[in-house]
Amino acid sequence: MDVVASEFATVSVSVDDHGNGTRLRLEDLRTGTVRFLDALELESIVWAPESWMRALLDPSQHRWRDADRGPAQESMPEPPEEPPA
Amino acid sequence: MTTTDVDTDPEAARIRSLVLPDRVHGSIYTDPDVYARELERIWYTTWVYVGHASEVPEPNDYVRKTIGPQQVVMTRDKTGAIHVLHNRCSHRGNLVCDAERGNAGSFRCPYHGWTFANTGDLLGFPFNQGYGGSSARAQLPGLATAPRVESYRGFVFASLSPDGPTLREHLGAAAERLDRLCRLSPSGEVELTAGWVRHEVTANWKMLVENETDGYHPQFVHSSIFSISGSGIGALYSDKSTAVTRALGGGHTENDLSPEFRRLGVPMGWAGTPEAKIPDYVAAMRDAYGTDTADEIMIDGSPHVMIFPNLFVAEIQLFQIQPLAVDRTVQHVTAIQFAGAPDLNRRLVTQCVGSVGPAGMLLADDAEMYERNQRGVAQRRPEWLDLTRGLHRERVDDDGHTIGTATDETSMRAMWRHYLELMT
Repeated sequence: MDVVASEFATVSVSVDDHGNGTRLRLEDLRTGTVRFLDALELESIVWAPESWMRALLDPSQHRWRDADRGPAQESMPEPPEEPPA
Repeated sequence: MTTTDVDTDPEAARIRSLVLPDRVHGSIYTDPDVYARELERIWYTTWVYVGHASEVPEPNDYVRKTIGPQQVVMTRDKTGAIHVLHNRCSHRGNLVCDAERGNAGSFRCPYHGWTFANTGDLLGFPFNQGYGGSSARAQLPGLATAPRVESYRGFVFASLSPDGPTLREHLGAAAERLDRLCRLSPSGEVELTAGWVRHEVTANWKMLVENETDGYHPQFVHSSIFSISGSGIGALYSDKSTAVTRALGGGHTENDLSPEFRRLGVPMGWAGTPEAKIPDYVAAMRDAYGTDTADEIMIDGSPHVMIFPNLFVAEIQLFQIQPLAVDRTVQHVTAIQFAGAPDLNRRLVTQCVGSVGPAGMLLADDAEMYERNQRGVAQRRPEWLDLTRGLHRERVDDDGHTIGTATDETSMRAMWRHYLELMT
């Protein structure tokens, strides 16, 4: 396990192989919250536009989201639904 | 002084009465009102040295720096551009960065979580419904940035005024002294990577600026380190020396010891380091510049230049001067490192540990004098400090600069002339 830390955040980073394939395990060591990222998700992050990362860094988008706007996690804006056929 | 000046700006007239061509009044070092005006007219107006590009070598590196009492963060963004940000959250004024250095594309204030890009842009804040939603972000301020940031040979300067001379105009002839420093690297680059000593003294900042190119004091104040180190530098600060004190314009001054080093004619003689001890460096220099030019560079040596108001290059070490109060000043000190010169760099760090490290003798010698001087000028009589040394024998060199002998107070008089231009 490695730790990527700054004065702003502390996250442990490890490659997890308990599943049928490898994935990255990220743990926010200040809260214990864990997220796994598979290879395709990681590749997508590598290719994500800068605006996407800037939006992700807005605290109101997830962890410190107002209660009436949904749960903190999994609360990034959903893609628009397909119109009914 | 004119009647109009007195009427419209009595403080300017008062300061002009305290700084004369051949003497300065003791209160110029102790008066809080003078200090407050210096912050506005000098530190928050002119170009001030902030840091070196080599301190933020990678994208998203940052270091905390200062402009006088102002806390700033020098960042390198993802594109490689360098920014100087005020270290103050735009929400409630908290210090945003606490670590001395780090790597981060964004900064999150620990008080309420406001988050900023390392360019200063506001990226967001928690619970944004309190501001009417995320669209409020565009109307709220990010971190304040220095209005002007420019660099010369990797030396990054900032001006907190949007207007004024360019950095190149500000540096004038002092720029060539930075060139002279950089050419001591085979690749022409200085690196400030040796770490810093933060050395605080109970003294006014101008005492330090004056002392940096005062060639009259070394044989007294630094006699102990010269004697135990076997350094021949002390002897160069005498009236027998061919070295000169030079006013470079813009308040910048130097002790130019190169005439003595040329007389000696030994490559690296200025550093007291025989060629045989740094063979890789000498070879790299001759490869890079050719033997004749390389030897000329290595004979001439490194500059001893005070770039007003806060960057002092003393041959092998670099000082950044930071006033904190009228009688408190910090010198941030590091050993200069030259790119492509690992064997020389190791020796320079060792030499600097002895001179300006935590137990270094050179800096401690000067600090004692600064603090004694600050206590001394608080005494009532005599009221004035004398600046006449060498006034009768000043002359102008081929480049049009005023010069005096190695021990003359030419540099102080020049500094004060520039000071008056800025202050009045």
